[in-house]
Amino acid sequence: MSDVAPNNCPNGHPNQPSAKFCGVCGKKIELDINVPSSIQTPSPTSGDSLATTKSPDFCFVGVGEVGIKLVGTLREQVASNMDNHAFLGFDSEFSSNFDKLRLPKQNVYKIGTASQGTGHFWKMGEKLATESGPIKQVLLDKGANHARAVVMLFALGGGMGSGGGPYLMSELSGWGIHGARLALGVLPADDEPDQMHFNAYSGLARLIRYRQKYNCDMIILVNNSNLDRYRTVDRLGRELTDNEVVATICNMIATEGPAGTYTSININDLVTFERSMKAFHFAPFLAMSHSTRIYGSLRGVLESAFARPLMPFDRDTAVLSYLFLRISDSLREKMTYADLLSEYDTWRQQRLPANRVSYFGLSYTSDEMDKMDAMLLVGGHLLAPTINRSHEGYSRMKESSTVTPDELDSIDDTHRAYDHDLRTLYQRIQEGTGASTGKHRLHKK
Amino acid sequence: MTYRSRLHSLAIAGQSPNDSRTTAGLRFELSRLTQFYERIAFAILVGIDGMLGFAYIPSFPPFLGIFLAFSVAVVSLRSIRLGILGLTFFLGLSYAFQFGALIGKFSGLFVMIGYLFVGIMALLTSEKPANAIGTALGILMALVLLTPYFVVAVPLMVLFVTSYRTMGKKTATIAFLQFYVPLQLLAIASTGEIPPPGQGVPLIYSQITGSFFPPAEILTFSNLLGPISNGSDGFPGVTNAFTYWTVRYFVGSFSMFALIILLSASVSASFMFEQFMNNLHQKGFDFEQRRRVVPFISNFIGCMVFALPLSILAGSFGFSTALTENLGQYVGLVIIGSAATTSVRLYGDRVEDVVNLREDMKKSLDELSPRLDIIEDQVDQVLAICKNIRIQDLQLRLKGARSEVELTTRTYRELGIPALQQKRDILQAEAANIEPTTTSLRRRTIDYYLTTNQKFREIVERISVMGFQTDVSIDAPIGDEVETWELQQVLDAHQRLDKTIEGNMRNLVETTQSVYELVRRNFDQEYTLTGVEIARNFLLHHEMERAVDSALQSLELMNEKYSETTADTAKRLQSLLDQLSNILELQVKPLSNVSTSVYFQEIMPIISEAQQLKEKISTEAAVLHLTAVFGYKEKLVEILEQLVTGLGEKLRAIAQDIDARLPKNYSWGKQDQMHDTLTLTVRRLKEAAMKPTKEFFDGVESSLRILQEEATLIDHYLLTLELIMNYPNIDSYLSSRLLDRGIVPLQDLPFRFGDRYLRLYATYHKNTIFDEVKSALVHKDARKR
Repeated sequence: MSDVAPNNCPNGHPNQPSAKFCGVCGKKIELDINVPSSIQTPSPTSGDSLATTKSPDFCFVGVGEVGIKLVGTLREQVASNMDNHAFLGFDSEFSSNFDKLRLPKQNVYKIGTASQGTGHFWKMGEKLATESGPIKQVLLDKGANHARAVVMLFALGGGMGSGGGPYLMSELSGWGIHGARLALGVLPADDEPDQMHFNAYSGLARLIRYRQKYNCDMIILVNNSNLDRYRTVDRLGRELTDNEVVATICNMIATEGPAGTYTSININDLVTFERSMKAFHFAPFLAMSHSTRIYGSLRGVLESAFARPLMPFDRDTAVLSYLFLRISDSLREKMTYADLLSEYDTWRQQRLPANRVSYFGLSYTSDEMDKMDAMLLVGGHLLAPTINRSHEGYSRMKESSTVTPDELDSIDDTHRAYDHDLRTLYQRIQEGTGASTGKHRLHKK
Repeated sequence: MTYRSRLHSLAIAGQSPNDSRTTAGLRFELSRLTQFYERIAFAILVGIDGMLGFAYIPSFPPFLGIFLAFSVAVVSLRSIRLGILGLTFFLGLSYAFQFGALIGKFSGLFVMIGYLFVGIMALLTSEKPANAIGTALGILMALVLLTPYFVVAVPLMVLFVTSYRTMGKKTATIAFLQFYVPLQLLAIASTGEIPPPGQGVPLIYSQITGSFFPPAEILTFSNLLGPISNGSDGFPGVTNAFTYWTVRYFVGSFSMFALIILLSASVSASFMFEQFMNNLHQKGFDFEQRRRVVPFISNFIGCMVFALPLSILAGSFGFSTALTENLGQYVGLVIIGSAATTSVRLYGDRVEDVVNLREDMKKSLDELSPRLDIIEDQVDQVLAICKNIRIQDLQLRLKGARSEVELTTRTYRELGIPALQQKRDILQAEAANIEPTTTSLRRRTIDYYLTTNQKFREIVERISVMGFQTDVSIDAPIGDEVETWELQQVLDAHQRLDKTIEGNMRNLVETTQSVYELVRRNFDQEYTLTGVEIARNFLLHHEMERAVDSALQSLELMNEKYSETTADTAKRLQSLLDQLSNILELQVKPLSNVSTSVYFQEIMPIISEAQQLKEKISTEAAVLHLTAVFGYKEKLVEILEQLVTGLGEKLRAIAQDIDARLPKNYSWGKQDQMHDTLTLTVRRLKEAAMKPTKEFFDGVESSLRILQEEATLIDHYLLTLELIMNYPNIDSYLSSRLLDRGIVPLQDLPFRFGDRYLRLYATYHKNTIFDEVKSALVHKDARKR
């Protein structure tokens, strides 16, 4: 545990890295972004009291058809761990059969009373969600109030995902669901209609702030164009579908290593810094089933992932990073934690010059292969340049939309404010280090 | 059927009213028999007594007297008590009549009542009716030597005899001497001073004879007081009377005591004689007729001890008997009585002896039979387990004992005393023989076990030199420990040993034959050993020992000649297995991991088998290893065949997998000719296995080289498969890089095998090309530009 970064309160009391309030004086702990960049060692897996309860660990909620399919795929992928989590789906209409949704019928609930859809309009999705009372009860029945996190998955281009998703996320606290709130939104591909980008841009704004309040603890964004280009395989060489790729992101987050793998990143680690830094969005990078025989080292694997982002991002302004590394048990001796950490640190300094907070989680899979899975979540970078296409679509559509000007203004304001916050954050980091060239900085170990 | 014959038949049949087969039953019969004879004797006595009594004391008509005497005799047969009481009653009537006539009218009745009273008391106080014999004799004596004195004397006599039975023999003897000797001395000392017979003899001692016809002199008080009034020989009347009565009283008292003493002396003399003869018998002095003679003599002596002094004393102490005159009759009665008594006793003794002997016999049989069963079982067990053990003499001995027991069991109830005694002695001797027989059986079994054990160990030692592995770790100890074992332990140990021996020896003979065949097939086809054939024949006839001897001789001959050759072959085989092991360990085993294990599931057990085979081979110079060596040789061929074939199949499967994942006609380094090579290798290997050793080893070496090539090729295939499986990752990476930069130089790639990947990418994406000059992947359009 020599890599533990001090997490001091304003009065100087040392605290756990994930602590939000001081255990001695009770004062709120603010992140000092001007301290040298460091890699945080995650909290012990066994340290989370909720991990031992019978309540679901994670509550995965799919909103809209795409969201439900993603949750269904994730449920299949989790397989033996299925009982540890809750898997739910909400949609306004069910055009496809449940086999296609891949989620059991009893886990899927209808939003709204009418059998009408949202018409690919987020406002309609939001309306249906607000009118649907039983959602709260369903979530509570499934134990969402005891879950460590509620993860909502949806396509931001659709009406239900972009409209109902942010609304439901905002309501969780009011319903007594106080776990971490994570959103995984799939942005429409560049060649998709403006209406979908309008929905995505609006939905993203409302995921960041809803009714003048920050809404999510973490927003993972996946771009459909990137996803289409992305290819990867599982351990047996089978190529993963797009849904499986997205589900893998959730799976990597939800699956902690076997008992004793204390270096896993748990949900508390994951949502500690976002609110303090007011940077919620993340771009995921995946490198699955990479053979060390081919890639040689972690660096090669990270390069493989980094070259294929699932969401466009600005690498120079990325402030936060989380690396979830999963390697075969047979490599435990060959690739030690210290070596991997060091390798990652070196790579991170080269590739993510503005990165200030980074977590490194390592877990082992019980097989005798020489494979590595890596997922890198990079966040806090400037969002505006990476959602240009959605912004364009939004701009073109907003004049003709039925959304009230106030609401549109609110969306614009949210994006502006969020962009401002990110730029301020980046500026502070640049000033704090006295360099803006992206040069490597010293990291405290 | 007489009582005796009935008893005899019951005894033979082993039955009785109760159960004569038991001791109690037989004893009961014996007591019944004794009673019977006692009653007969008493009936006779009572009958005679009655007839004499009614004759001497006449009061009944003669026929009535005879009838009464006969009646009481018959009654005595059923009940002695009733007989005696009846006799006493009727005689009492006679006495009462006669005494009434002599003394007074009612005096006889009183005497009779007293007499009955004493008789009843005697019967009641006696332990057994037989004890009342004294009473009967007393009555008889009283009748024969009837004097009034006996009226008083008999009750005392009866009481004395009764009480005497409770005295010890020594006490009785002393009592006899105390009284008898002084009286004898007194008799001698008083000679001449006692008034002569007929003069001054008190009337109460006067013989009551047949002078009841006419009635006897009347005894009156005046008669008694006669001396006082009359005086005699100048004595003054009173003084004379005093002296007279004093002398009479004195003499009369002594006379009474003398009679008592005589009776006790009579009984004591009888006992003393019997005791004396018993002592002599115990000290070894014996004669055949002792049992017949002694009771007779003792009875005779007893009677004579009573009668003779009384006869001598006749005339002295006031005895005035007619015994001297009637001695002939008396002796006759005594002889009859003694004979009857002897007869009863003899028969009783005989029956008792028979009963005792039968009991002894039964007891002996009951003891001997189970012991014989046990040892016969042991003998059978020993014979079943220890083949050819020499215990025929013990068997014969036991057979004899068994037949004797069976014969005795069948016949002992019918045998007489001598035969029973003889049988008893035989059975005792047989019983005494059992223990030595058991000991002898155990001893011989132990010896047999030890000899077999030793012989087996010697054989084991001989064959172990030649490399024959035997299981000698069995529980077959030798030495002092065995000496303390019970027979069953020895047999158990021998049984275990026997099994081991049989298994090992059969194995030895069979191994010898297979070694012989191997030698002929592999080293020298002309080599001939007749011992092998002989051993096999012996084995077929279950003559294990001879088979082993022949086999051992043959083995030793073969060992001498071919042990070194065997060792060389084993070493060569071991060397080949080492090579195989290295190939498997270094090249084949690493091929299998989680992703590829599906291809190697069947191969892994074969690899383990090869490792185990290598450890088994022994390179000792022993011809017996030849079998194992050739066995291993065959196994090696089998393993190699399995490996070559198995890996060939895997090779084909992996190649198919790769083909399925790649574009058609894509050249990825597939070696189709390898499949033919493998088929050829297997065929050659099979051929080599049939050839002599040298060609075989060459064939195996060649196969090992092919196996090596095969493993290398599989490794190459697996790598190709791995690369192809990972291709989607590479594909999107390269697409991304191309999108960014338009060119992907080989040296910039963050992974290995870039060259192959870039070429493969170019195959899939027709708008790109692998620029050989730049060693980079480029867009075709960009290249044109």
